[in-house]
Amino acid sequence: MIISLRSMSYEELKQVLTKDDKIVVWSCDLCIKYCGLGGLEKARILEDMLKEDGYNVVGKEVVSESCLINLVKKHKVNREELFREANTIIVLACESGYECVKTVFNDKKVIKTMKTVGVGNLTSHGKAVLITPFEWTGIDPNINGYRLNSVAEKTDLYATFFDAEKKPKPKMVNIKINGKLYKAREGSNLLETLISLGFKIPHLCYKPELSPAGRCRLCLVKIKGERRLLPACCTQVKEGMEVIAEDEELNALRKLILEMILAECHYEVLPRKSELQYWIRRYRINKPSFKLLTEAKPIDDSSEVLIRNPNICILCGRCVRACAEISGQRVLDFAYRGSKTEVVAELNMPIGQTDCATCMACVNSCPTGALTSKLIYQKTLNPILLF
Amino acid sequence: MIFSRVLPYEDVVKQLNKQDSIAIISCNGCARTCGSGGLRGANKLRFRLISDGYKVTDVIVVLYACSEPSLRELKRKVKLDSEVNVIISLACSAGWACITRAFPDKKVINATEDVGLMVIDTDEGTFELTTPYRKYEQQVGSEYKVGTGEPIIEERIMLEV
Repeated sequence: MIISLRSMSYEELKQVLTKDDKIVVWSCDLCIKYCGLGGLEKARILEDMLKEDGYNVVGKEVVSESCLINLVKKHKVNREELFREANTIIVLACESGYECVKTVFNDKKVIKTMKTVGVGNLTSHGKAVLITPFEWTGIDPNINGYRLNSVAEKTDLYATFFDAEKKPKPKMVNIKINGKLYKAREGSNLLETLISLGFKIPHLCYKPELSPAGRCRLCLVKIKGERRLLPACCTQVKEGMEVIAEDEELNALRKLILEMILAECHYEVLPRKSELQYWIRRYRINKPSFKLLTEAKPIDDSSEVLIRNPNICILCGRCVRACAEISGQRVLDFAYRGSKTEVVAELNMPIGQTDCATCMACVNSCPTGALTSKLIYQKTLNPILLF
Repeated sequence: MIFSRVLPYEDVVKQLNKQDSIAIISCNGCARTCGSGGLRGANKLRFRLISDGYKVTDVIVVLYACSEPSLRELKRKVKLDSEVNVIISLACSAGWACITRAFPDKKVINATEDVGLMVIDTDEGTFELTTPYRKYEQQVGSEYKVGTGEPIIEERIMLEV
């Protein structure tokens, strides 16, 4: 992975901005995220900080790999309205990612905030370390890697995000959850709020990087004043909101929905570490109550990097949204109707024959393991696929 | 992404003995894109080594060789042949370092060299060197074919570097 560090302070960033600028915060979702300087969370923080200081942030954009110039071009087309309005882009990406944005948006002010220092590893603790620095850093290659803090000291760069200098203070409101009073950020996603407050709300179709869809119905909650149960993932936090997030009825309903999901999924081949398995275990479903409705479908291993097993797809649509929103490619989509609905690649082709950019946005989004990365092991001439 | 180039075959075999039992670990991320890794790169090296009388027992293609979690999963799912004493890494230098740490009892040979950062256009099937290591500074702006790393004479990605 590419190791980058922040090259400007928040004050320096403000100096290159004007209050008339219409700003988009652009972030890559790969290496820079593992360096702790990018991804959706950091883009949100920077957006909050700038808004608090009176700057006009018109949006943020997260892209699966900013160094893939064709993805950057597609984001420009897909979010045409946003980029027509914006005249400034702050890039949270490595230097390659910045070059792509600068080239595609050559009519806008594109601000580089990172400096790439070399290549490194992602450790088991989720931290990045620098292995082979660029020569200008004056640091020798090291097989065990350098921590980013020590690299930042030697190169006069920053290893932390902008918020280390100034924490944003978003507007908080009072909400009641299960009869208890809590403070939550106004306008934030209710599901994210509940999770951050420690509630274990099952959810399979929601991912913060993607637009909410409310497909799986697992996060249904009771809200005072509403006639029906509402999916928390599609609800925003408001002042005075009273929410029942967990009770006997909701738990029974969630268990039933999980069992219904399993009626469309070949339970026995579910990977042990998938999100769906986690919720199955948590709701103590030992054996699905309903008969399996779907017939076994062939596994698609035509791609060089991923395997698609439609037998454990629950049609949550995360991969479809990831392909459209994070990758920008729109290779995956739903086909057919009703009980025959399935996710297909382009014109129902093997994924290896499509325009898939192999950015892995779909694999990283899949909650069941229906999309997994390919690990090939050849002992003899016949390859064995492990997934 | 990082552009890495396969070292000359002679430089790799210089580090091998005919008695060695060899495994090849190839990266399916950046190294596959620039033609040095992936299944194609691994098989190319494997068949050449076999034809020269070397014993290659295992070939593994892993998504990101530079990621410890990815290599941990590999070790959980794959048991290398007990005879293997040498691993050839077809990944960038970061991937090689990670493999070396993951298999401390094996001799891990780095069969590639880092060239620099690249910008890719998967629709066009090309990539361009943007931020090189010092040795390759002359080649900044050069374009190559995705999957093989063959140089392209005609410029396809109009990038101002």
